[in-house]
Amino acid sequence: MTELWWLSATEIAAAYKAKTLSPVELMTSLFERVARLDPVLHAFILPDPEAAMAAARQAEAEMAAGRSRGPLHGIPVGIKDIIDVAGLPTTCHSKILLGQVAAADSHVVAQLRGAGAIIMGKLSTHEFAIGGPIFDLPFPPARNPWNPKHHPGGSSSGSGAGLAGGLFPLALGTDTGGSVRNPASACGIVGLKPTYGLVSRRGVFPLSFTMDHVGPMARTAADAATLLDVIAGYDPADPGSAATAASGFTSQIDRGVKGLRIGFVRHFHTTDMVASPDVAAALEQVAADLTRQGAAIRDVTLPPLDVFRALNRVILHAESWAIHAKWLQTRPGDYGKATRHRLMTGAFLSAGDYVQAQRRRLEVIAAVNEVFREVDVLMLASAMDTPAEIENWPEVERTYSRQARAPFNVTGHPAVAMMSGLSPAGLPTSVQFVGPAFADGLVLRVAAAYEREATWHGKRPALAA
Amino acid sequence: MPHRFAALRQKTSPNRFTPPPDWETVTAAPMEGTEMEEFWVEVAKRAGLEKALAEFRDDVEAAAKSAATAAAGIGTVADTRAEPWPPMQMETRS
Repeated sequence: MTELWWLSATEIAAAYKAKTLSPVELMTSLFERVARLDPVLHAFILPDPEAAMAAARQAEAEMAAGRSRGPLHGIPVGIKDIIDVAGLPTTCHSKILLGQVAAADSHVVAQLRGAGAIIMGKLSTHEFAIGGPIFDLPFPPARNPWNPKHHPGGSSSGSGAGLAGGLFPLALGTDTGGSVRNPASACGIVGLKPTYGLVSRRGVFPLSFTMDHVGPMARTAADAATLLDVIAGYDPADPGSAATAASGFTSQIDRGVKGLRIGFVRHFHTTDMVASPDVAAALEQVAADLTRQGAAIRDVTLPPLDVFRALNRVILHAESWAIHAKWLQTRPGDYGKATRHRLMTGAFLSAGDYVQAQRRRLEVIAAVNEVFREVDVLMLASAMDTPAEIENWPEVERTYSRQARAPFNVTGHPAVAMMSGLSPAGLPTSVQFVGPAFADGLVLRVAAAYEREATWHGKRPALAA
Repeated sequence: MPHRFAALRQKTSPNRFTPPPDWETVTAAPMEGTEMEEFWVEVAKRAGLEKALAEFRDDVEAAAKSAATAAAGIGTVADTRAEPWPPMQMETRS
């Protein structure tokens, strides 16, 4: 039998139903694994075994009484530490917020609790979801289970490291410039940035109001869909929430790609920003795999990657300055160096820069929507390189910005990143699939089809075996 | 119009991004050297960053450079009358 810590959420739910596994048994196993591996991985800022075991006992009692709360009943979930969990600190991995305890659950955590999921604790992040894998913070940075000398991506770094390390089957991350999809790419798991407005951000510490997203992270596309089904939905308390939010993402997961028109944004990684040979070769193999399954793939052209990246940076820095100005003015020494420099950038942008960026943004959104008249889904690179060694800061900084994820924070389209192979050094390569607004289910369906063909999701890091 | 920090960007970060199509218009260097430094220091002070300037001057300078690079990369808006609002509101697929 598969070790308990590698079971997917879908498999756990089936085992509960068959009464071959209990929530208490699973939680005990997972926290033993956390005790063994987290001193190396640092996925957790604060594990919460007491509350989690109590929730497991409650789930067990409910199941024994014949009450089911759905597919996440008794399923463990890790929460990135910029998302409020009532009674636990939300530190954002920063000295600035040490000791701040959340008075209430965020919308997404409330949804999870309502569905019977078990909150395992708070997970490492880059400071305020922007700083980077740095060492001048109150908690150590998470490390990559495929090789702990390397970073696990970020800013949802603990979410990615914990999933790839088998510490939990599901996690929540957030994504403003690619922060769900970066750790998904670096750690070889599945991370979805949903359509802007699909998942409420109430109770999540903001970075950039018009580009922040909360997204599901998992080891399989089906699990990501199951998690999305629970957390998606309209929330009038989030000004960005879309009243047209949908559900039913799991119902279309097995439909395959036969007959789908997939646009390959090849120019992003061949001319706009040249990817490493391992990444480029893996992308060609993804295209071949999907073609074999009946998809029709052809090249498409989007605006240049640098335009998207500049828009992402101007908007992000202008909005984050509005959030952090007071602390940067009075407590600059309480930020890590990389965070401080990045967050101060907004002080040097003008109102005109910000408004121009928002105007240009509408143009590039229209350009991407135009491409979706001709194709159903886009495929493209996520990270242009495999993750760098975490203690080689110049290389971390150089490679972090070599990515094609930020365009879809600018446009709001749903985008999933997942493993596309292993480099000769044993580190994951990655691919992204992107869909029209609110076609999140379609994007996950393509991810699931690729997953079935390529089976990378069955590979496990040696450290975490 | 060159961006107000164009000289700073050109001088310090020439390889950080691919020039946009309208790059040729960004040729004038309105300020150089000490004059540019005085300018970003003044902007930092107006933003209330005196403490950061005193303790982390290199970080403040890096932020000013980063802003210049990013702002120069967004390019020009095709439609002069285009409005920026709402900044984000996704439409359902019809």
